[in-house]
Amino acid sequence: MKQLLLLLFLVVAFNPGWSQKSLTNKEFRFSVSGGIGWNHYINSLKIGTNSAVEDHLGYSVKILWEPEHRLAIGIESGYFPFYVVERSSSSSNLVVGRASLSIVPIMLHFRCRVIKDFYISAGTGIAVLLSSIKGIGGTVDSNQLSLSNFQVSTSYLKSIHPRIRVGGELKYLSIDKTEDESLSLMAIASFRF
Amino acid sequence: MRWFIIFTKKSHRCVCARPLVLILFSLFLIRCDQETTALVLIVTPLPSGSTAVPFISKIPMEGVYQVIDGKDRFGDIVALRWRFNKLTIFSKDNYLILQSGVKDSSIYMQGFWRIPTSDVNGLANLIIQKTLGARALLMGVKPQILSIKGNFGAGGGVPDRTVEFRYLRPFSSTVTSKDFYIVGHRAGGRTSDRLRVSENSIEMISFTENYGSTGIEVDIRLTRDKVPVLYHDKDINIRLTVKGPINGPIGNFTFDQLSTFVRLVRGEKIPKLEDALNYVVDSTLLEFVWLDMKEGRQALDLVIPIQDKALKRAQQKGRKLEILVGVPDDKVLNDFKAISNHKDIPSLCEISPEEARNLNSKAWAPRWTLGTQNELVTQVQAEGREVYCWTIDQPGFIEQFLREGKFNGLLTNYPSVVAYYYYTQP
Repeated sequence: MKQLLLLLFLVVAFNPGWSQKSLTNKEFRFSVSGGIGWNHYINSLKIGTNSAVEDHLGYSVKILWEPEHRLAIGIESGYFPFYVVERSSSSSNLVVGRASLSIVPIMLHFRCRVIKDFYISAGTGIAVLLSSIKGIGGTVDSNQLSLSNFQVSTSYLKSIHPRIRVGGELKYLSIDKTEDESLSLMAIASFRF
Repeated sequence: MRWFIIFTKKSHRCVCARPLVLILFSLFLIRCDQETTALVLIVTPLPSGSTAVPFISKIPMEGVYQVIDGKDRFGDIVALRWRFNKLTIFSKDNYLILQSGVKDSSIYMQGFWRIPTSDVNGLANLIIQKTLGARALLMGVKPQILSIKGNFGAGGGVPDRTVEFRYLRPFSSTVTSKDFYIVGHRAGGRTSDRLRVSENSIEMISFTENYGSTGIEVDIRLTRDKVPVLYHDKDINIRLTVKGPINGPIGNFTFDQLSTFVRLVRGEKIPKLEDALNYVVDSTLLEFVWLDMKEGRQALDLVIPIQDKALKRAQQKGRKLEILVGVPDDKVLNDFKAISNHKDIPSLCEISPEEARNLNSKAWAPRWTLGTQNELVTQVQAEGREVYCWTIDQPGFIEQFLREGKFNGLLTNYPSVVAYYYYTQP
């Protein structure tokens, strides 16, 4: 799955048969995009598997440098809640603990326009893992860094104004340190300047 | 190992972005998925109605056996050793862990063999027939002829190759007349060696006597609520634990939180040091415990009373047991020295003989790469200190260190290999 998505990106991005057309009269532009939407954790837990809440509201943001050709490069971040798991304490069934994991990725982002308004993207970078436990032995918040992570995504952006585009994005995100994965579908708004 | 290899294709058009893209996607994305699942064979059950082998039969069974049949797998000689009801046969390259039972005056032994340093294994079904020694053994007498016969196989396949071990001699006086500890690393063995129990667990402490250990080394860390536990790494991670919902440094979480949300890779809970030591005292014949301190003063203040309590418990039960607080580095050394009565605390110093002397440590533990150091070892032993060598895993070096060295014990990930060379000494 991961290889296929990356391969698809490469084939489209580097196929010399696909001519590049100038998008604007300027040599390059920048854009800022924000997204909000559904984030689904692909459940691979071995503890608390069945009690895991896998669907949450996630957010993303990216800044891209968009030259006149198809490929745009930038930085992407966001907030992706992965799961919330509830379990009874091992010392008392009456006490319920709640453990959660959320991800803040900070990744290089490469985006390629496939056809008009349709894009595919890939990126790699670090991610901050935010763990939290509540309900057993007090609240514990814990941060970790995952160094080798990647995402692939596809998006549709429709121009509704010379500077503003709106659309949606489907993203697969893989976190190396904990071997966690998620799939998100977000509404995107993009501002060019 | 899975390889994800991404190749790029030359583009003549994306001039500006091309270098960056090339750097990114020309990387070989390598994932090392080392196989860590347990190697477990379904062992043939003992004959129905069989009873436990009586204690009086076990002592005359122990000793060195000549391999009559099956030399290509088990070499020329093997050593057979009991620990409670745990029976193990140590050969040069393998070990056999066997369940045992008596039926119709014959002694049945069913189990498996494995090369400890690889995944090669198989089933083994052995028997001492009543006419080949079992009848005498069951009366507590050493028989004139003692022959263990049976079959062994490869993998989970039917044991179809014949094997015979014939009793040669008891363990030599070199073995029986001195204390020597075979110290199993990480409570007796490593998870990465695909053992059926996790490292640093009570289950590993239970298993490791079968694996050849007569002592253990355990790693000590503190939880957030200051409970000393057995755990090697700083973080909760998928190398040591089943994938669960919490991540981060183990010291961030309380013991209750760890017990609720974390399981070691084979499903065990992370044990408290106190429970582990009680298990050693109450349920094993282990004689040596090395507490490898992964943290400093705070941990020492909590671990030392637990060590003292366990030693008193062992004394009350008439158990011969040493429990030594490890001093592995300068940080722990300075924290240990800051304890007013540190010279009265049984400790093991890894740093140098001088520091071992300063701490009045019961033992000094040099790394194996420094060699046998016989002169220095003898000198330290003359001061009344023991010397343990860590962590020696290569069979060739294990043989050399046992033959030429003067150590009081070896710390190893492969106690069965040390056990073979130790128990077969002339």
